[in-house]
Amino acid sequence: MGRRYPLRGGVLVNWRTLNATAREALEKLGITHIDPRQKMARLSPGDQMLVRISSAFLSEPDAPARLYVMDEPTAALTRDESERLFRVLRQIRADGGSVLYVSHRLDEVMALCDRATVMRDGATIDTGRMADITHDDLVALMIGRKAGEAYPAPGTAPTSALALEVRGLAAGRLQPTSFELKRGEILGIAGLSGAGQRELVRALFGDLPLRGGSALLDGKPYRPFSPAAAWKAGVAYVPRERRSEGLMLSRPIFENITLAQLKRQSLGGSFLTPRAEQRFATSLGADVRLRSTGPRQLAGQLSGGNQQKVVFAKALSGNPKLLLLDEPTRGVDVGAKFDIYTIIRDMTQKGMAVILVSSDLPELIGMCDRIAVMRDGAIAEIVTAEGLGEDDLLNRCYGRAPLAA
Amino acid sequence: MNIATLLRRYGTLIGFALILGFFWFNLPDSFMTARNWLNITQQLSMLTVVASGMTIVMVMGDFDLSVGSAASLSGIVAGVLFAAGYPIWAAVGVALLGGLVGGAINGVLVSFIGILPFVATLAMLTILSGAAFVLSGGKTISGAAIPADFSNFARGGIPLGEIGGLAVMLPNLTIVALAVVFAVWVLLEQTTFGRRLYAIGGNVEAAYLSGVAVRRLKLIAFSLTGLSAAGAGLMYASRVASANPTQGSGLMLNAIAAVFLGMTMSEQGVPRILATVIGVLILGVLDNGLTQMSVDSYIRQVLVGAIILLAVAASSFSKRLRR
Repeated sequence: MGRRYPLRGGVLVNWRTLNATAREALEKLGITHIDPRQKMARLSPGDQMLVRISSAFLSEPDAPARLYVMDEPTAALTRDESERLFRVLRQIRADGGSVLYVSHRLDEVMALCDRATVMRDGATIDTGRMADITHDDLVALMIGRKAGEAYPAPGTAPTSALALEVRGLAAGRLQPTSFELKRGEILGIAGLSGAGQRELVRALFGDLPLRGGSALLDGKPYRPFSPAAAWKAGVAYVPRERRSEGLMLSRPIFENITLAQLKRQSLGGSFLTPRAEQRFATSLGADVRLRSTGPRQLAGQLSGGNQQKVVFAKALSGNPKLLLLDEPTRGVDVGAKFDIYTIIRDMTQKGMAVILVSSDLPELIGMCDRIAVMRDGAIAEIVTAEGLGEDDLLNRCYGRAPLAA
Repeated sequence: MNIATLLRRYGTLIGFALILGFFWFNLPDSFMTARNWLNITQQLSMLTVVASGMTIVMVMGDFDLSVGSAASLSGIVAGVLFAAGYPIWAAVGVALLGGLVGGAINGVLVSFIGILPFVATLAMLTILSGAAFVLSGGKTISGAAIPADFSNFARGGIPLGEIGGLAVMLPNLTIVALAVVFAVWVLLEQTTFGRRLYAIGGNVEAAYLSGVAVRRLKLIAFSLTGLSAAGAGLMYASRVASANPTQGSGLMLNAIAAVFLGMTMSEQGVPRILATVIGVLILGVLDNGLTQMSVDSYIRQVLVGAIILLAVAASSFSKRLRR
């Protein structure tokens, strides 16, 4: 995109050269599994991002780019894919190019960058050399106070009562899957991107037609055939793509928060009661530590972290029994991240069961009671999170034997 | 509030006021009179009803191109049934039901089969228009075939007293249009149904994942739009005491234009029913005033089109400035 097509005979596009150039650009990032002729829509979000990044590295031969601006390029990438990107970025630096790298992932910034600028609330806070700064300094600058623990401490252990029992659930690419989830428990879902995590939560939420299997929610049969049925049964969902799946950005905060519970937040299920709705939304907003000018502010005017809190407020609006979270802290700054972790912990203390899909391994280890590792569309194993090492978990995601101690 | 914000929010209203002032100044004796305004509201009643129905689907970000031919067909259906000797209530009932069913077919095509509204309703436009010609044999149904009670409805109204020795009344058609506007206002602004339609317009995927029954709501919304088009067709047939297979054809573009004019009055560019009514009034007043000033009807079309472009362009330009 954005480049002249190679021509044949002055008029026709030389597709062979075009495909070869595209393949070369992909190979620069060590990508061999994507066919340049494939349609973008058929690629996974991670692969789409890789293609977009490759296209940035494909410069006109007579005028190579000297400055690369990358905004959260690794948000949808696995760790291996990110590593490959970093190798290319370091090569660019060695060749005399510059990179402006925007990220909320501090470990990446620490490992990759020479200097860093911290911004908060639309203003520049500080700029400094990475050699002179520690991880904790960065966090303190970003949230404006001294950093404490990254994850709130777990409360009492989950009860023994089962919230969810899944038997042989299969849908789309999801192979028959069985697991149990106790009330007040957080079950993490780990795996390489596209291992079936998304299919699992979507199937549980009624957004994927089931091929087979059954589920019990609080001991009662649960067979979701639509998201509406899932909400009704007491299952809430925080989708992965906040802007395209989670929010109506052009509508007020309160309309976003009450949408899933509109039947209860109205007169006889039919007539709107905007004042009562706004009070309800305000109190839920306070529960999730939402920072806004009021319930009538447009969702699109909020920062990423506060937008995510609106999505959480909607998810919590019906006091669900089961909360499905798909990458809930993606693109969320450090301060809001801690708030969201605290909300999740508070909810489990009230007996809510949580399924947390995340590609952030420290997050899984820090928040979850148990972690289900998915490989090739099925749960390969379920491990206890406590004491689990990051490398160990990563190896399990790849299906490699844990290293002997 | 600074001047830019003021202009952005009230620009279209200010433009409307300028248009009113212009005609008032140029037509001092005939424009700002009760008689002329009651006349305008009656002329606009059909467009108001169709534009109200159009607002319902446009709230979801869809639109319906088949409303004009649906209006024509409903007039023809009633006319054919009148000619066959059916009572007024039966003919009117069947015509309205036909509009509802036609709209429902649009809804099924768009939401359950997943055809783009542009394609689905364009095909329906052709089908309904063809059906109107087939049913009527291509001829206008008029004269004795149309019952007097049916055509008298459009001539009647509620007497408002006398002005200058002439009886003035609130036309029945105006009352029907006001009732439809009120019903759509309640539906869109006061009910959970309307809130969900706005949610679909805001982000259809997020609405679906929040438990909004998107398909069913689209089906209902398109049905209501079809119903309103059929109602407007009957109002037209009553007013001209005849039914013609092309008489509704001007309604569709004007209805969409009215909703677009209304959308320029909203900060987020969403359709609101009362704003649609202002849009209808702008179109109607322009038509009325320019006709009275004896402006050629082709030049009138050019002017109306230019004013719509101006309003929409100014609105999207000011929105871009804000970013």
